Amino acid sequence: MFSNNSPQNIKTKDEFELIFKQYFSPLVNFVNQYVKDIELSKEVVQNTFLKLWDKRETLNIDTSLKNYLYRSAKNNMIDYIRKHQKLQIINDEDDKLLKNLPEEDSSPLSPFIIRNEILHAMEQLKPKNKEIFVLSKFEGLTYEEIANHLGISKRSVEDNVARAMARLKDILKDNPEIFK
Amino acid sequence: MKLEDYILIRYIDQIASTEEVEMVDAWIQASSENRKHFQELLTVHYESRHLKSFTSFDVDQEWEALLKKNDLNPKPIENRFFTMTFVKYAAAASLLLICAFYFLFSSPSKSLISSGDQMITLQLPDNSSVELFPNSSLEFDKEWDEGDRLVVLQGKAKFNVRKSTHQHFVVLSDLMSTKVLGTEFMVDAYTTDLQSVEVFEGKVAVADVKDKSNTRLLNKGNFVLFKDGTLEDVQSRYVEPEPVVEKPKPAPKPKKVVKKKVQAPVQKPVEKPKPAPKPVEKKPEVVLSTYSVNSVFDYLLNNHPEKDKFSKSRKAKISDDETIDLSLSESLEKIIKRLETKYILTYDDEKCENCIDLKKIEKK
Repeated sequence: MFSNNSPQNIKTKDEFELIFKQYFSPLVNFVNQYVKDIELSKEVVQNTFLKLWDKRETLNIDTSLKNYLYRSAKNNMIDYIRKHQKLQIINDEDDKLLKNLPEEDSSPLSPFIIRNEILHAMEQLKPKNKEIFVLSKFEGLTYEEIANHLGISKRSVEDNVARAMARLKDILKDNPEIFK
Repeated sequence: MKLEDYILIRYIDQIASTEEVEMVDAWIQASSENRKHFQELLTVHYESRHLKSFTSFDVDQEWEALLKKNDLNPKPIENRFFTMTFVKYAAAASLLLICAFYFLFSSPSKSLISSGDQMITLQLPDNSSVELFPNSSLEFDKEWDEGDRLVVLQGKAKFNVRKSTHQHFVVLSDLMSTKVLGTEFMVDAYTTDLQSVEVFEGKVAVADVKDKSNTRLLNKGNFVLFKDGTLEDVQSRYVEPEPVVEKPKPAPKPKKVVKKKVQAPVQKPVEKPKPAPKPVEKKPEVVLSTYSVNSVFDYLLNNHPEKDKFSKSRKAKISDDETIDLSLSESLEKIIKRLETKYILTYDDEKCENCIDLKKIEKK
């Protein structure tokens, strides 16, 4: 399911659907860093995919699909922001950020892909593991705070976080997007 | 040497004892396999700290949303007959049988397209396009060589018809036959109590299927209701619908065209429609359905001629759980009035006299 196919390999709607579903969330989150409006970010990413679909037969790229999507979403986003500048989606600080968008060689999309995959893998955790993992990583609580909150020992909290992470690592192990 | 993961995690969290740190350092040095293991845990650790600000989407739903924008399917439509559940098919078929028996079975080369619970867009043999609303179906010949371009509609659909000088385009629903001389219109034939045809572009002729001489001619911006067994008079979009007049029998009527200039949607209508020929006996009964508020805006954006003016309004979103009871066949003014009973709509009036540019929508 995970592949680095270049777009010229997209022949069917089914293949395209897989790629869409794999990359939609990471791309929207990436774009939203700059646009800071989830609906607009979704629109930018939708258009990115529609362009990819339109061009699928003529497209000839020399990079991975991931990097192609990154570059294309980035360009769409910049176009979009220029067109809608009067909406003041971005302030000066963001403007600086935009000008310094990383080049595709550094795989700036990868962290978003990894986060998306971790979120999915979390569904496979045991409820207790998951709860404690969320309190620790999402809410940023210390082990001590979690232990107090749940009325369990600190050691038990550590153990749960360790189990959750080890399990997540195992689930994600075979995903080439994550561990190369 | 196998090291317990929890010690590695303590090390990563920087809460390991001096002893543990030494142990882990040695372990990491021991083999490339160990290093890889450690690196992977570190990645999970680092990236999971960013998850709070990561928005996860229902990609199945997003995929459907994409398909609504573009069906990604330029080829002639496939026969989706078998995607219908048997019950739905049976219901649709029985109605279709009653309405269009001869039409259905006169030719073996038919397509029957059903939308299921989604809205779908499809292309007809002449490249006309149809947006088929949920729980609707459309039947037509796979090839249109000569004669009318006939489609049988069950439910509701919006048509964008390619002009043809020699072939009429005819939509048959159980009560009405809609003959198209022009381009863009919508037929709502979900129920037998109330059906409607609304024209966005061009001209359309609507006839009572039981009495073909009972015809209405609609221009851009007009709509007509088929209510309680009667094909009503043509109405203009921005005029309050006339109260229903009970008519003993649907006698043939002269063609009547209410021409009305399209006005700014939020303005009051300048004049009332022609008074009803008979005394008013009951109030209009508009069939209200429950829609999500956001889908109402999507509908307005896609279906009203002022749609450009709605384009920015998509920024004004409210929770998807918010619903409102209304009828989409009502005038824009009425729809907005209904929304305003429940929500505070803030408009952006800047540089836009005739626009509806919603800035904000809030619950009252």
